[in-house]
Amino acid sequence: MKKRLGWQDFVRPLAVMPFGFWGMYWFEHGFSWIIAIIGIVLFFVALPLLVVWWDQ
Amino acid sequence: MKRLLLFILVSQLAFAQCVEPIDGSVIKESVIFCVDTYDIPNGISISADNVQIDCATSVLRGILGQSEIGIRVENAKNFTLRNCNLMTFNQGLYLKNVTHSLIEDNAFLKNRVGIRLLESYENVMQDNSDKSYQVPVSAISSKFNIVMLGNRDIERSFCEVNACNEYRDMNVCVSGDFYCSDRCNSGNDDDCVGATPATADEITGSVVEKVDVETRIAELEQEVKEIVAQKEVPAGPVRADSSVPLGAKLLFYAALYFVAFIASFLFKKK
Repeated sequence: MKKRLGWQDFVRPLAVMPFGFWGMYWFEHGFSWIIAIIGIVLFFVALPLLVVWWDQ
Repeated sequence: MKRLLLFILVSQLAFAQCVEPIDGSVIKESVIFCVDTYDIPNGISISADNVQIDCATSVLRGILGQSEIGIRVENAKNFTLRNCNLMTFNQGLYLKNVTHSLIEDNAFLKNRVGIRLLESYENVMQDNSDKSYQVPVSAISSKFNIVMLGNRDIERSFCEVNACNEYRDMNVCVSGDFYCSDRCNSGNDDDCVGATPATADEITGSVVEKVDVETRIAELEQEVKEIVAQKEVPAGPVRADSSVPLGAKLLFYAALYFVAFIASFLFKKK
């Protein structure tokens, strides 16, 4: 059975956009350790922790 | 009629007196270059007084990263350089032990250092355009020069003892700088004691022998600090100047969103 798309289906992919901004900033300004550390902390540490601990 | 023809021929020769610069040559008399673009990776040298060079807007070109000096002037007085376009040298114009020279209406393009002054005094540089990679003008052990670029201002430590960006009256009779100007005498400049007003050869001898080594080292260290501070291109594989067009960015973000949209359905089905 064909399911209708909900608004969540369009909002959920927006989660990748910060990664895109981060990648674009890196591409434009080149590699620097401070940007790498900030990006890793924000996207690969803080976000998963937020998701896991959200309801606790 | 014969005389008329001879006159016409001779006058043609007189008009055609421009010369072509030869790579690595030494120029000892005034010349006008024929208008053209010349590749002179080893540069040209001048080591005589009262030489005037008019490039007539010619382009003198070196090999980027390999050619050291475009025009090297050493031990000369009253040197004049006009209408030259010097590009892709490590140092476009190099003046060592040069006094009372005039450098005007030149362009220094894509050199590491546009004009390098070493032990040079009372020279005038005006209406020159500069687009050098590192510094437009570098002056070591040089005083009383007037440095004015047509397209940018200079704010460097050597401006304390040289006039930068505008004409400034300078007292050239300063004791202890190992330089005795034509305008000074033993009464107002101790450096003139026991010496007639300096000739270029005399300046060479006196400066080389008397310059205090520690002072020289401090000046060179200061110069290096300035160059490092002003270095435009950062070290390493950093792309500082690669701005992506807005359209390309939007396309990238749209594509990213589209991929994420598709991926979310793929993961959901599993």
